[in-house]
Amino acid sequence: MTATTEPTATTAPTTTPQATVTTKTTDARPRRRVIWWRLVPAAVLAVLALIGPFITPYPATRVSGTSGTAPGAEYWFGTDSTGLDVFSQTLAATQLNVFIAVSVVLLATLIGVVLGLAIGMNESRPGPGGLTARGTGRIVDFVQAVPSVIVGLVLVSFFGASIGTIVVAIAVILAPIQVRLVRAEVLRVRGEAYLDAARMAGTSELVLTLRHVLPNSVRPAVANMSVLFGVSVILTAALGFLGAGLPPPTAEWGAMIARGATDAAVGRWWPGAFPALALVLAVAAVSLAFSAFPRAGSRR
Amino acid sequence: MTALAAERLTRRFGHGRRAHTAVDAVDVEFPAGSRTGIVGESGSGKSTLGLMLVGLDRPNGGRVLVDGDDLAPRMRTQAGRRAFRREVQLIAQDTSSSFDPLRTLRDALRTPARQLVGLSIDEADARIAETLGMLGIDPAFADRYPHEVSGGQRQRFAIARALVVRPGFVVCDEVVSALDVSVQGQVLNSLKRYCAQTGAGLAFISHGLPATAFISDRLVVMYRGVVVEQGPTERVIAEPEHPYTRHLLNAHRGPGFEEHRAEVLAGSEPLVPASEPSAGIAREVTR
Repeated sequence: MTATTEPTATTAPTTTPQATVTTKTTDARPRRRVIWWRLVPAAVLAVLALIGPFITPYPATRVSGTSGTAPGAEYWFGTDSTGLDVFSQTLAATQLNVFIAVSVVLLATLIGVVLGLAIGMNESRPGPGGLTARGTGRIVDFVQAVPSVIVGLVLVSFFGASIGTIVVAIAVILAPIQVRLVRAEVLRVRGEAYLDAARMAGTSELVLTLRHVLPNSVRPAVANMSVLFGVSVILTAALGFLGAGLPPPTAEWGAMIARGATDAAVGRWWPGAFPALALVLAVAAVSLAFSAFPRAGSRR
Repeated sequence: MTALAAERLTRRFGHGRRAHTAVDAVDVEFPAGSRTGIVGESGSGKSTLGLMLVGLDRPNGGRVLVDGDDLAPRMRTQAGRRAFRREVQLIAQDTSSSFDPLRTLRDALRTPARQLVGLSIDEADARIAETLGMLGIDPAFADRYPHEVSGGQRQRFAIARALVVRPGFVVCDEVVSALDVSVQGQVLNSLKRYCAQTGAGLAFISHGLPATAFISDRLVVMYRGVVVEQGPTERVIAEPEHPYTRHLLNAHRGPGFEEHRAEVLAGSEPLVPASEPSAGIAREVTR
């Protein structure tokens, strides 16, 4: 059974055609070039998030001028109805918004990957394991079926409005999307022949899940992170608009847009427009950064 | 050398009225060192039988015997599974998904060498090089990703992945069906050579009768989940007993089949004629 074979007797009859093939292609790995310039806007965003609150021309949460001043040389983005400098607020808010959005996206994706793998790998199994997986799947469906703002309102009003609870609340709202994306991919990957091959090679189910199923099923969820980044900023704003967000003087784009809406009604467009523009640019920068990375290990 | 046996092996799919018995109380013995061909049309249960023989599918009834011992208890522990897989390996039909697209072929070949045989990385690479040489594959291909080699190359890597642990028994499920005829011959010859040199047993599952007859000394004919006939290859081909076996032989008969069969039965001749594919194989390809 373990008798080693004589290499002399087994060397291939003709190796010449293969020798010519190898000379043709020197680069065996697929091309995975990162398009670096696409990372520049996101890098600028990251720098602004780090130093934004420290380089504002006026204090971001203190009255610094006459209310409702139009954008000009002194107040670049104008002032809002309470006399806060819109430029300083917008700049200072970068830190909080990027922090909330990044935390939400990471947390939601972590939940999505863990639950998606667990549900996808176990749901068709008989016995308590399969029952638990199917039950968890139904709970995920339920969370997604309830309007997201209501889930957020309940969580925030129950645990109090802080950055931590807002992050958790929005992550819980968005996680079902990631769970479903990962689960759908797991169901596809689960039938692939290389899993049986790995089993034949003595790989345990846990190692198999982490080494083969996980890397092959996360791509849609990872690509979706750039979308979730934008959605999480908008949800932060929605919670703020409904009074379940961070208290008013806090510089946060969503709250600023919400307050700016009342200003816009009386013809002052700037308090809402500039944070909205910042939001759009931030979301665009993040999606551009995601598009810098090529699709790894393309199958086709 | 390892002997396998199926004892009243049964596998059902579905429940109630939609239940379907894919393998129905099958008794087949695979003595150590024997080369058994399992033929039958699509849906006859031959692949399911193969999956149960290697422990990837669990039977609803009956058991698989490994050197006379029940397989089921061995499959309950990780150590038992690994010991069994060191002895019995499966080579499945090539599909684009027979290797993880995110990992190199070498990575896929190292796993069994390290996990089942317990080799170090260097020893595993030496073993891989030896195995690839045995199958006539340029070792440089090992550092490629699965989509960077041809289907024929990938299938030979799948064979290498199974043979890298030097198993005592190999179950082959439609290993040559997706390959063109010239590559079929090479693959079959290297498999036959491996069995001859190591004394390993072989279960060769295929719907292609000529290839199966070439490589096996015994034939098992399956039809709708049951074994309708089994015996020495020459006897089954020369004097088929069951009507279905005769039907199967007739499906392969055609111009050139008699000569081809004579060559196959003579043993040493290469399966694939140099000039044009035989009618039997041509029919097999077009079905």
